Amino acid sequence: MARKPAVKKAETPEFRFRRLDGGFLVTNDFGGHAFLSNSDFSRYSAGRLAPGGKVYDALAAGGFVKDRLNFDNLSGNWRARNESVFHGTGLHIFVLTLRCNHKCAYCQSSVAGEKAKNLDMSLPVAKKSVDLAFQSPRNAITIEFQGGEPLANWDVLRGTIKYARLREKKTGKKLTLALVSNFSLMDEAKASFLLENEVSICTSLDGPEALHNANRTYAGGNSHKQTAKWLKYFNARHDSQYGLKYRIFKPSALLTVSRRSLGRGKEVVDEYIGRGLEEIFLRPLAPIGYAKKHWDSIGYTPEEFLKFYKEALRYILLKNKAGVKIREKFAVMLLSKILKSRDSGYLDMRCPCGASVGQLAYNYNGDVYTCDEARMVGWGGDDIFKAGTVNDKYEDIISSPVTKTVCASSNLESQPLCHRCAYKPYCGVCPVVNYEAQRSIWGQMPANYRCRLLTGLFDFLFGLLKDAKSRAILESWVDAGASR
Amino acid sequence: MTILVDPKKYSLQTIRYAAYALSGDNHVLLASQKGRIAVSFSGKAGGVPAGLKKLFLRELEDEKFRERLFAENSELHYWMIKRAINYVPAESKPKEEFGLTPEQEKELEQLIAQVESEIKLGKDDPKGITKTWEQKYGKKARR
Repeated sequence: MARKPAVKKAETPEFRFRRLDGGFLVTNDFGGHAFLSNSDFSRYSAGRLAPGGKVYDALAAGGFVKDRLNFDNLSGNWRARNESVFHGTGLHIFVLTLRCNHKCAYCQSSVAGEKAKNLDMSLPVAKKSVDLAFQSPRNAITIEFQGGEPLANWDVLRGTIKYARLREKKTGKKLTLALVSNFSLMDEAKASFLLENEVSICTSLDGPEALHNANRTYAGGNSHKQTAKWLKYFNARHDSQYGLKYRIFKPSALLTVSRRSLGRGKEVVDEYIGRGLEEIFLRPLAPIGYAKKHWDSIGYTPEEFLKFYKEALRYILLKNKAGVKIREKFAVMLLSKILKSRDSGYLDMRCPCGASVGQLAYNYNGDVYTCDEARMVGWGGDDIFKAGTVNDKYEDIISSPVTKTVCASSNLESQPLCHRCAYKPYCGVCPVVNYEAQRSIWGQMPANYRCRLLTGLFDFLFGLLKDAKSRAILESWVDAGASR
Repeated sequence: MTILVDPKKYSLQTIRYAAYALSGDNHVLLASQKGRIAVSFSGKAGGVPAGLKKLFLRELEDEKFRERLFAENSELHYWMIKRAINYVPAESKPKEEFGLTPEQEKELEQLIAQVESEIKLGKDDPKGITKTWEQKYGKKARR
């Protein structure tokens, strides 16, 4: 059995640091963080911080003092934050079709026109996909139906839901079903079937009508009108579910921030509040797929996104102070790790990233990719991230060279800049985005778009945590997340 | 811009990491030059950003500290990670639902003592069931 090594001279265990707002932020791999003034940091890093003071006690509680390490707490924190890597793949994304009746300005899904041929998943492929998903050793799995527009392949969607629910009963695993739809093909019968089978519903809502429709071109008319109509319907069904034998989840919406959104953060937040949504995800564009081709017209710099994000988040905090219930999902996911040492389920921010070990993407033709973004790269003609097909066994996919390579390249311990970064305990890299943006799955972090954006985001959130009132609101968001 | 760094003061690894950290906006070339390391920067957008030398020297100091910190703690750090990987939270012991308070304990002892004395007196044993054969009938007669 391994024995604890003897304590050496230095009184500080391994930690990371970053200059922030005129002082220092220190973090460690075991869930601790603390803000230090320049003078306290100098004393602490030299091992000369006197025991017993307020700063010393705060550092000791966070696992920053070598002879005051609580190994049980620290091990538990680390384990909880990395829990996902011990249980197998949880998220299984089924691309039921590549056809879509929208032509969104940023679409990452690499879709084809509504009338395109041979781009639908067949029921036999869908069943094999379900069987493969259920081979994951994880007790609770989620199948998310995406596209294209998944409702365009309704018969297969309906058959897959029925089959998956049967498999759930047979295996005893807990199954969550989710649908991402633009609602343009939704009708009462489809909606009822989905709700009766406890499928959670998610759509896209980019803001007020003019902004939404400018981003999300719909050949059949007004995309925003459809979205608003069905959000209202699903909200009403959720609110009036008392006495039903099945659960109806509150609908949710995804926002993609394009260049058109910049400067309109408050309007976007008001739109979400007005539609009865309690969560908004201020999601930046990823420079992959269709978005990559049109980056000059729809993209922005990390600094431009951060300006938008800060303005919108400060507005959300003001709304919270006024008693309005709404929280921002990106912040919640990062703060779950920062404040609670808990994995938020955000696969792009895991170490290693969620590719294969956290999610698998099943393409319409039965090809299986390490994640949905990887599938989009495949659609562009490069199958570098293809881990197998639905005819393979789960264990073959999870131990494939592709999976191993993606895991290795997204391990922050082997990323020279990330390994030394104060935000390493909360962050993650995306080999697919690296590959698309920098032609290397490892990327080059000092020049990496995503790294600059996330670093700015962490700086902003940690800055907010120093303010007691903002911190209280942010903590309540994370606490609320635990009960949802 | 070229900065000469003394490898006796900063390890090659420290110099490399400090240079890499600033390679986002700059092309960086490291070369050996008369026993020193020449770190040459050229801005990707042309020219060299203002304050780059100061920034690099600060990165060098930061990296030197990190290198020492990691070296002194790597054994402990990886021991803690291994421990975390194998960590199984201790199951909380179920509460003893039927535990007695000291008062209840005392009351129970008194009750037991009372019952035992009553048995001895035969109050609750009119047929002498609790008595031995000898107590009831005396010693067995020899045949």
